[in-house]
Amino acid sequence: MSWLTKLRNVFRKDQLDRDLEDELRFHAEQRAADLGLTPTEAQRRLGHTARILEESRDVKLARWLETVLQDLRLAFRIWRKRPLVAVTAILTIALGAGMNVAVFRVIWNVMLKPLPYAEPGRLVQIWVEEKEPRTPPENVLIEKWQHGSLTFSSFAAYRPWSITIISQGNPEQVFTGMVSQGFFETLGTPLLAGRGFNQTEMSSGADNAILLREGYWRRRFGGDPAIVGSEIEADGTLCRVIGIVPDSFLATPLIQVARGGSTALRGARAEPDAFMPRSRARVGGMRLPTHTSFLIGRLKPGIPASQAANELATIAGPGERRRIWLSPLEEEVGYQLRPALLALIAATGCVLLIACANLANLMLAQVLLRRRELAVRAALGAGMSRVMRQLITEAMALSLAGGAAGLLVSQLLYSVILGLYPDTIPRTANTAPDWIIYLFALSITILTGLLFGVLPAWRAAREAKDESLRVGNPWMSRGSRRWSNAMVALQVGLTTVVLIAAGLLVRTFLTLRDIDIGIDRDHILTASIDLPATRYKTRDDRARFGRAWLERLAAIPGVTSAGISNSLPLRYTMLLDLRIFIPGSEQEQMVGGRAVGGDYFKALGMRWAAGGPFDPNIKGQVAVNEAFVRKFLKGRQPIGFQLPQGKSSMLITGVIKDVRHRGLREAPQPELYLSYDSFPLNPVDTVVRSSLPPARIVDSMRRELKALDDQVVLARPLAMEEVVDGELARPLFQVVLLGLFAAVALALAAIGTYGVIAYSVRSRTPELGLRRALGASTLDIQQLILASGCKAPMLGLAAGLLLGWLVMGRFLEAMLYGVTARDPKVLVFTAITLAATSLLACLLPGRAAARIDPGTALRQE
Amino acid sequence: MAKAIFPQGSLPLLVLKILAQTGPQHGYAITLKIEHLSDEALSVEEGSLYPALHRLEEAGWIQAEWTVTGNKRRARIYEITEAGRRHLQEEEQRWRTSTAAVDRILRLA
Repeated sequence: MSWLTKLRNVFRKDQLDRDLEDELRFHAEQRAADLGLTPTEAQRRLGHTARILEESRDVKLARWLETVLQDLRLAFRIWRKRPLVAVTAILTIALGAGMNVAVFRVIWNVMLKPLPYAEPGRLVQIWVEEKEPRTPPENVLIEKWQHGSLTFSSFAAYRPWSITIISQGNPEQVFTGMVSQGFFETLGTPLLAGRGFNQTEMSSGADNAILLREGYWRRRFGGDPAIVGSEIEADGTLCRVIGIVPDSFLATPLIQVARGGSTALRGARAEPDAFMPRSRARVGGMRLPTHTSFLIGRLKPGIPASQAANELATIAGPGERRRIWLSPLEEEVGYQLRPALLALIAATGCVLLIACANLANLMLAQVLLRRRELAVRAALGAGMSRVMRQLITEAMALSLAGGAAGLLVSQLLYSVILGLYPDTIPRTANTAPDWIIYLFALSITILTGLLFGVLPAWRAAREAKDESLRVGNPWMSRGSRRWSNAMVALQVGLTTVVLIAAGLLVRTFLTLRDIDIGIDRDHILTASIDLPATRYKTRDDRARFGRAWLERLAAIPGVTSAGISNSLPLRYTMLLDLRIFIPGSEQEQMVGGRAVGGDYFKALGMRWAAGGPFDPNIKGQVAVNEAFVRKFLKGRQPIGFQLPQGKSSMLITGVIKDVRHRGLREAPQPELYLSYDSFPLNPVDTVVRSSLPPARIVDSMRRELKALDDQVVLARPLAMEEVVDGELARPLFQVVLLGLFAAVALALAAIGTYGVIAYSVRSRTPELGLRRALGASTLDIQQLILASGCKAPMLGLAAGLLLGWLVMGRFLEAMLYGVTARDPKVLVFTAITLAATSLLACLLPGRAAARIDPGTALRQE
Repeated sequence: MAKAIFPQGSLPLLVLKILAQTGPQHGYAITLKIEHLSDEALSVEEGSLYPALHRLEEAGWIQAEWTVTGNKRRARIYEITEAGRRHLQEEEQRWRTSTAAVDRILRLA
């Protein structure tokens, strides 16, 4: 009966009993048939069935458990005698398993844990284009779907927004979700108190209502239950607080698409603190048909997503050219993070395998030292399989100890990972590890024990049999040495792959860091101001504010230039969607508009490719960017070009160099720059250039703003450098972690290679001594060791390079920028690093070999 | 002739011997065989055969497999393993030596 069957028997006791009973019944029936007995008589002849069953079961279960305990006791005694080996092994396992558990814990939280919604499998996010960045549908389209769809039971639409809440005279800008009717009902989230929005509250202009998030309610209002039903000043009006949304409600998948990734939300909170009806959300106080909302739909039971997508496309009509696609909400959480997480777990998996290879070699050498003892035990009746099982139990004991220590390592690394990530990683706040994490840790520990325990056990059994009681050298045989070299090749190969991945990410990071974003990074301060739509109702109100604000900014001592815009580079982008008509093309074109005022271009250090800034006092003058010229004005002279728009037209006065507004790795889109005076949009993003320390400028700006209007807030003041760093934070996160894992892999592989070669040198001491005695030079000896030692690592390196060449592209593509997966520099660097490391690992034992004294060596024989 | 008691510790040896000579058998057939070969002098206490079989299996000297017999009954068939054969040889030798010694003493007395 195999080891595994026995393990299974422990858990399948019932099946085992049934089998035994069957066997006895068969016997009784046969006996009855042969002797013509009644079944009862036959049964009686058989004896006491229960007792037989008991005895047989004991044979199968108790014996097995007993031997396991025996083995464990023996293992403990053995490892206590070799504490150094045991500690080395335990630490290695702790490191390898801990890394895997930590990364798995992030993956579990982000990707695998069920969403906190009712029947999350039926929820899908609806997009209108597959390309990055994902495009949400327009509100008009959403309305059509809400009325016409039969495959969805309901929809939840939302828009990330920012409003000002004033309590006790203190204004505060609050990150807010602007939601559609039935939003919480669609997701299936019960509220902590109160209710969701009703019909009248949803339609604009009527009763003003707001929902607060539990955490915000506790922080700002001390968790006062009387708040529900009372009125607070929000978004420029008095709003009735109609309910509290529990903190457990997960808005993260809803807001992850809020552009700008890390920086958009920096300074703001990652989860919305308030919810208001979507009808209030207007870009710059305007509601346009081109405005979009993020949309989640709840599929009716049993409806496949493909059918629903077809229906939505039909409702949208033949005019809709874009592809409508549904993505399971479960896959939307942290979707930007997923490729990185998968790469990380692959890397930690490699590290664990490398650690296993190291340990297998360490154990092999250790176990073969005990070959005599094992042979004796086998000869005394233990049986070879019993001896092997003993060795595997020993490995398992180490592995379990290492796994326990690994939990500590994983806790540490987990906090490091969370701390390194620029935003909050979704669903990781204040969560104790789930039981599944422990299960994962246990399984990975057992797997590790098997992986590094089986090879030494098998080899030891082989060698004990071959040489059973022969007195001979204590070193491993040629066959075992081949296996040991194979382990070295394996770990060097895996290290190569991890190193290539790390190298590619480093190159990506450097490319992104050095990318020309079209603006300066130093001495620039940015901030955002939200003008409540209720108090700044008209264009003139906002234009007046803009002019007064610019005047006050320019007057601040130390400010060299200042500008305003509805949207700053790399901050939360809310563009004005303009329809323009290019002469010569059939269709109306969509283009993003940015309203800018003051010395906007100068303050940001933007450069002109041709022409210059428009005169804000002359209506209809605009500037465009290079991408605009490339896409719409192929070959035409842009300066002085008249762009028809509606009944009037716009005159292009200059072409500005492209700015990476939407992210470092996203190609610039065509853009129009208009005068803020004619398009006074909200929010009023502000940019100030000054060589004074940012903190002082922010203080002055706050003072000036308070003097201008004490009910608005200067939100999220950030130096441009911080904004850009925020964009680099995500690639940096990947580089740091993968770099760390690659370093661990390299160190383990170096130690492993060194260990095997040093062992081989020690085992060859008499031979090397003889060679020295016969006249070999120290150089000859070194060469000999190098030649034999480097073979395995070089083989591994070659295999690793080949593997990297073949699979890396598919694996890392999504994370790379400005570098191909087969980047020669990275491959060469990896090859050199590993070759040098292996060489070093050979050189040290080689020198020891060269120092062998022939006389001593020969006497040893 | 009166039925003899079963010599202590000989049952495993007999089982192995039977399996080695007659090939794979189920438990009941082994019982019959022992009775038949010993001219009915030895009778197995039928129940005690099964724990013995399981112990032999545990030691790796025999292996077992469920099969379906001619009349569609599920039966467990035991077969001797290579290790079992070796063990049998040694045990047979030991048995002979020790019984011979016992015999000699009995004759002397």
